[in-house]
Amino acid sequence: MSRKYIDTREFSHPIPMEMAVEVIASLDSSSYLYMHHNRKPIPLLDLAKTQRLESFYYEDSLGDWHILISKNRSMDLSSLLLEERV
Amino acid sequence: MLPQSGLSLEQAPPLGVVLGLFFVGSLFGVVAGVMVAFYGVEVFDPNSVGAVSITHLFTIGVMLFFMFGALFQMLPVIAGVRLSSPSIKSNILLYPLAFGVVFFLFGVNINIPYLYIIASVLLGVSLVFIISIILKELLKLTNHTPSSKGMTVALISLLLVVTMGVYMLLAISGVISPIYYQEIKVAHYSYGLFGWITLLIISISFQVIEMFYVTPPYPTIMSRYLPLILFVTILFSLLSPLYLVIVGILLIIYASTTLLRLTQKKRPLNDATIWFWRLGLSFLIISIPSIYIYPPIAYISYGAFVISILFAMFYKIVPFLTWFHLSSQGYFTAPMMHEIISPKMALKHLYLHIITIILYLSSLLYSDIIILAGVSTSLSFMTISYHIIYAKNIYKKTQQNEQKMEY
Repeated sequence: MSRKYIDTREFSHPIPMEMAVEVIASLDSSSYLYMHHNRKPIPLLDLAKTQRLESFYYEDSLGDWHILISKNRSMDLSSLLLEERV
Repeated sequence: MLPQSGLSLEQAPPLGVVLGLFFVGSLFGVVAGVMVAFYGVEVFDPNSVGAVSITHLFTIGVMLFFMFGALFQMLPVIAGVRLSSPSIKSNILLYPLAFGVVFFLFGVNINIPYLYIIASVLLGVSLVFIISIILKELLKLTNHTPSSKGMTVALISLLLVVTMGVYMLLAISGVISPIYYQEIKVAHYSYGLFGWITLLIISISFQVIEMFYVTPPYPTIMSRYLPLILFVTILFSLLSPLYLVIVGILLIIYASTTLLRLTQKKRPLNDATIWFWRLGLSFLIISIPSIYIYPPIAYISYGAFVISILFAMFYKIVPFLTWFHLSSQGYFTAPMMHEIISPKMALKHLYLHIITIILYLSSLLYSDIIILAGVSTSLSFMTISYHIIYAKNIYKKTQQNEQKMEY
C-alpha cells in the first residue's frame, strides 16, 4: 500500500480540501490519502461518502484529525491508521 | 442540532442562489456609481435626495443582496442551519427586493406617494418573509456558537429596521401619521448601520477570521457578549446621542482586536481577501472619530468598511462554492479555485477599490472628482459582475465537457 500524506494543519480554509481532492484524483487501487488536519473536514468526508470512496477518520488527544481515504473499498483503512500510529 | 464548521453537500445552497443574489447586488453597485456621478457631492448632505437615494441603493441594493447571498452560504457552515427549497426562497426575496429598491428610488426622486406605498409593500413583505424563516431556524438551535447567536441578534435588528422603514415610507406617503418620524428615523439608521450591517459582519468574523486565516480565536468575553451589548446600547439611540460614543468605543476595540488577530496568522498569507479585511477594519476605526470631526469622512469610511468586507467574503465564497459543487459532483479535474478567480485579478480589484476610496475622499477637497469616484465605483462592481459570469461559465463548461470520476 502506498501512502500519500498531506499535512494541512496550518493551511487556511478551503486550501486543505483542494489539496485533498487533488490527491484523491491521483489515487489508484493500491494507494490511499493520509491527511493530517486541525479540524474535522466535514465537506471532504461528505464528498468521499457521495463518491463512494472508502474513508476512515480519527481525532487524537491533541485535537488533530487523521483522515484516510481510498478508492479501493476493500482497503482496511482503520488497520492502516493503527499501523501508522503504533 | 450541533453547529458545525464545514459545509456538507446536502446543506450547500445551489450555486445559482448565491451567485444570483451577488449578481443583482453587483448590478445595483454599477447603478450606484452612475448615480453618485449624477448627484455629485450632494450625496454628502444627509438630508438631500441624492444622499437618501445613494444610501439606500448601497444599503438595500448592494449590501442586502450580498449579505443574504453570504447568509445562504454561511448559515450551514456557521450555524448548521439548512433552508429548505433555497432556490424558491431566494427568488421570493430577490425579485420583490430588487423591484422594491427601484420603486423606492423613483419614489424619492419623483416624490409620488403611491410609489412609496408599492416600495414599502415589496421591501417589507420580501424581507419580513426571509428574516422570519431564517430566525425561526436559528431560534430552534439548542447549541449556539457566538457567530450563530450574533447572527440571530443581527437579524432581529434587521427586522426592526424594516418595520421602521415601512413606517417611514407609509408616513411620507400620507397613509399614517408621521408623529414619531424623527425618533424612528434615528433608530432606523442606528439599527441599520450598527445593529444589522456591523453586527452581522462582527458575528461572521468570529468564525471566519479563525477559519480562513488560521488565527487564534477571539477572546471569549468579546465573542460571547459583544453582539448583545451592541444591540442593547443602540436601544439608547432613542434617548441620548451618547449611545454613539459607547458604540464607537466597542467597535474600535473589536476592529483593533481583529487587526491584531490578522497579524497572528500561523502561516504567512497575503492574498487580496486579507487586505480587504485589513482595509475595511481600518476604515471602521477611522469612521468613528470622523463622525465628530467631519461627518462626510465618516460616511465614506463606513462605506469603505462594509464594501471591503463584502468583497473579502465574495472572493472567498465564489471560487470555493463553484469548485466545491463541481468536485462534489465527481468532477475531480475541475478548475482549481485560483483558476475560477485568479488571485492576481482579486489583487487588481483591491487596487481599484483603494483608488475608489481615495477618489471619494479627494472629492471632499475638489468636488468634481466625485464623477471619477462614481465611475470607479461602477468599474469596481463591473469587476464583480464579470467574476460571477466567468465562474458560472466555468461551472457550465466543466459539466458539459469534463468526465465525472466514477468509483
